Amino acid sequence: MNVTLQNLVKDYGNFRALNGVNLQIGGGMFGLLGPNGAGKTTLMRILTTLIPPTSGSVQIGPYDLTREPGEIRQILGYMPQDFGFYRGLNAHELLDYIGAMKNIPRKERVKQIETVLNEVNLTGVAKRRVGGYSGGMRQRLGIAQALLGDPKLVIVDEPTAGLDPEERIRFRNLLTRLSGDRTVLLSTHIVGDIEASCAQVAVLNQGQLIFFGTPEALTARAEGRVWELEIAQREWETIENRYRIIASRSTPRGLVVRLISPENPEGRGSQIAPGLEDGYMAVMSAVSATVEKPEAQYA
Amino acid sequence: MRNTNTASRFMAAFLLEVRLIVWHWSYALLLLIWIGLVVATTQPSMASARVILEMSTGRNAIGLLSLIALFIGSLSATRAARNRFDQLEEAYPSSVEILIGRWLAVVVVLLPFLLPPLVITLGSGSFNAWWALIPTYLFEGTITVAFTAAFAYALMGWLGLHRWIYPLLVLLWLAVTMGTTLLAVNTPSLSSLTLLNFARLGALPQTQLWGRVTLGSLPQLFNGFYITFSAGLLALLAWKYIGRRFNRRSVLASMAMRVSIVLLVMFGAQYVAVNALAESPMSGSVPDSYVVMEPLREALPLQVADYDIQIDFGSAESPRYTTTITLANVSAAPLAILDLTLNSSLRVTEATLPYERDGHSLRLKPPQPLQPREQLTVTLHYEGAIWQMLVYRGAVQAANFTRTDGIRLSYSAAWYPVAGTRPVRISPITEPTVTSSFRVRVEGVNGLNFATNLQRVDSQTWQAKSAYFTHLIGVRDLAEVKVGQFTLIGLPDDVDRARPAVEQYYIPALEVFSRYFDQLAPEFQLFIGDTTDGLPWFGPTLRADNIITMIEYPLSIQSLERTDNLDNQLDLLMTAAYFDNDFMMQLITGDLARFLWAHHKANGDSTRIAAILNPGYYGVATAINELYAREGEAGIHRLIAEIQANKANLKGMPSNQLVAWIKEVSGAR
Ligand SMILES: Nc1ncnc2c1ncn2[C@@H]1O[C@H](COP(=O)(O)OP(=O)(O)O)[C@@H](O)[C@H]1O
Ligand SMILES: [Mg+2]
Repeated sequence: MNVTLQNLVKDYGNFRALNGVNLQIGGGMFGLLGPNGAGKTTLMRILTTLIPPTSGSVQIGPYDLTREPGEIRQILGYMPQDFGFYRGLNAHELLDYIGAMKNIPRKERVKQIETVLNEVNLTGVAKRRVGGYSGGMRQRLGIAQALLGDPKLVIVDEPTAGLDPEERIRFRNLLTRLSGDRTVLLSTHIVGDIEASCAQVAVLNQGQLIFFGTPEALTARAEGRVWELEIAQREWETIENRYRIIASRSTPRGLVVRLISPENPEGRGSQIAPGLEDGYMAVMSAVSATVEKPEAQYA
Repeated sequence: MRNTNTASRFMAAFLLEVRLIVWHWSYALLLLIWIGLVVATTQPSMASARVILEMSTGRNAIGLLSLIALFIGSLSATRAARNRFDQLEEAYPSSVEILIGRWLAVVVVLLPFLLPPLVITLGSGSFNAWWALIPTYLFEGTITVAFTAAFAYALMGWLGLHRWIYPLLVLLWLAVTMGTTLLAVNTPSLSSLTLLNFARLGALPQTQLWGRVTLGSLPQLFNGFYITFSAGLLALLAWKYIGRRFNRRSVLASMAMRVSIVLLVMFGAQYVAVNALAESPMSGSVPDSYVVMEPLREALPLQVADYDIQIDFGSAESPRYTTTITLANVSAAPLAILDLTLNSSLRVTEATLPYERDGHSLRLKPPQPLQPREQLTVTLHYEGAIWQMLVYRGAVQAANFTRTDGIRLSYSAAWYPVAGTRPVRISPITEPTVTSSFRVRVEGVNGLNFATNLQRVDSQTWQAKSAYFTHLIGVRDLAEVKVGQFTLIGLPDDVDRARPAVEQYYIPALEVFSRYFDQLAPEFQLFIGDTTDGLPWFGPTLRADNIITMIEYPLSIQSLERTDNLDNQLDLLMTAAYFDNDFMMQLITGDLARFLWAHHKANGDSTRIAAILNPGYYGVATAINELYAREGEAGIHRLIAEIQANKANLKGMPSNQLVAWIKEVSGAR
């Protein structure tokens, strides 16, 4: 399932949340990376037909987003960033209802519900009120409902937000496993979420697409620009003002910071091989020096 | 395939919403409270099922249910958003059918709330009468619930999810239901506002005998208005939803919207038009025309001495009358033109004299002037349906009508020619001082049972030598039962209910009265109907020969055991029977009745009579009792004779003067 975005613009009043996004998404897992407020959710809400774009066009498979939203919904699985279920129902009842909404014939529905519940490992609690579910269970149910009806395009908006590290890793693995031959569009502000799984990555910042390519290409953006530097405690402020720090750890003698810089910082840094995180930071800092620093984590 | 998908999504949404509402503790609790409320507010009175369902508990239930529907409707409409399920849901390939399914679920889960009033009325009267009321009650309750739920859905679709909406809904509900009713009741010209009373709160002015016949097309117009209103709201909801979710204008929804608007305007306009036609005679509580019981200041030169009326109701749309009247010139001058009044709805087709017709006026032109004291007999053929409406407590109802399902021709209808030229209004148009002999015969009765205030000759004929205010009613289930001197006329259930009260209170009271009025032996007709105008509720009691006709509320007969109520009834009875209906005499006749009733209860013991009468309250009755204590029955006989002799002086005399006058009478010996 190919998704093609052309010159996509979205304004909220006179605030431009998406500013001329052009993007070509092919099969497999696709990662949409960007800091909070970048416009990821806005983009996904447009792709899932929840809100109309201000201008530009989107083609999903054979369908035009504006003219054929109904057809697109039929091939779509969506897990929003912020969602809930009717708390009094159990997972089974909910999936049955959602299956009906997705036009899955009754017999087929029973089978599919069993399959997806199994896939997300909720079979044991399928008869429990979802009101009593933990955050992780709720997210997994979110995936289950998205997978119902075997959608060709799955859109998942920050699925790992709010999960503890262990749950997060399990969730990533789940997504990777389920992607199969579908197109899965995954948005996140956590680089680690896409590191291992995505064939392609786009980075969105302030409504603009600042990178589009493979994870390797993103990593390559930081080639020769990632340094490690040992500094004294009192130097921190100066260094922080001068460079984009990715991580730091303290040592008995002071601090070791990992940072991005075109040149050798302070002349005493040692160059190290970049990771995806570094590539992400590199494209972010390249856009603008005044960009608010993303609260990235070093996994 | 698409249609079956739509249908199954509709079903799924409907079923889930039913489950979400019903499988919640609050639903069971609400239903329990509801049942308690219905039971608590319905007095175990002997009111008929119709009164309970269409005028009290049933109406209140529908009214309150509309408020609940407004709430549950809004809760249902915002449920997905409140649970943050909306983002999931909107990405599913569903459409507006899920909203419609949920709306329907709200309507369906509220229907059980209509049942308690039905159950509670099951024992009130016959099963058949109860059974016949169910469809209308359920139908109208459903319309109101459907409308308010649709309104809630449309409003929420428009405003979105906000907390302040709920108090706003209550205010809106109060403003519309209470506001429109209050305005309409107090200002007859605003009676059309009752159209906005979607909750149907406030009694629909139905009559006991004819049910909704008196309301004509208004209930249908009202229901039609709200059915199309609901459909219009749903169409609007669909139109907006499809526009938003599919970026297209739904032709079907927009057509439904247009059709609804056209129908809505049509129903509304007709409702207003019907209201505009109605008369509103009741500015005060008693119309002016009833108060004047004196003979006309200038006596009419012409009188109708005899009526012989035959009505063929066979052609239902337009009953045919053949009326022979004997006219008498009671003036001193010859009359070249004989002025009569006949309802303008009645078209004169043939007459044995040349005539001119202009509105209600019918002018006969005899070949030679009618000489003083001379009489003339004329036969008139006329036909036409009568439908006269009035505004009563804000609501329009018919006072006179000839329909296949009911006939009500009161003395205000001018259904027979009356001497003189006068406006045909819903008020008396003949004078009680002028009486005529009457003969009325009906044919082609179509399953209706008839009654008049004349003496019955056979099932279709009545007559009287001297009558006024003659009326004719036709009711599908009309029972006529004779109990002593009383003929009870009304619906079978009501007659059954009234009978014990008549046996227990009216007959003994009459026995006491007749001891003092032995020269008169009146017979009584009790019409167990209700108040609506045209029949004498506010005004004089009907009288023909020695038949006194009174209209009784079923409820007032049943509450006779309450002494104050009984006093009122006896008071009317006595005034009508023995004092020529003269209301101005009521102060003394009322207390005389009270005294006589106490006399009966105390077995003639004046000390016990005094204990029964409240001296502070009934000073006149106490004075009568003092006279009785001194002189016994002879004193009362004398007092009654004095009252009859001094009518002119006693009229309107205040009670302290009356007490003095009675003392004077008793001391005069
Ligand atoms: N409904 C809305 N009205 C106005 N501004 C919005 C709305 N939704 C999002 N925004 C703004 O648009 C920007 C992008 O938001 P969002 O798409 O949620 O970003 P992300 O998902 O990448 O965090 C943010 O600055 C946000 O405040
Ligand atoms: Mg977001």
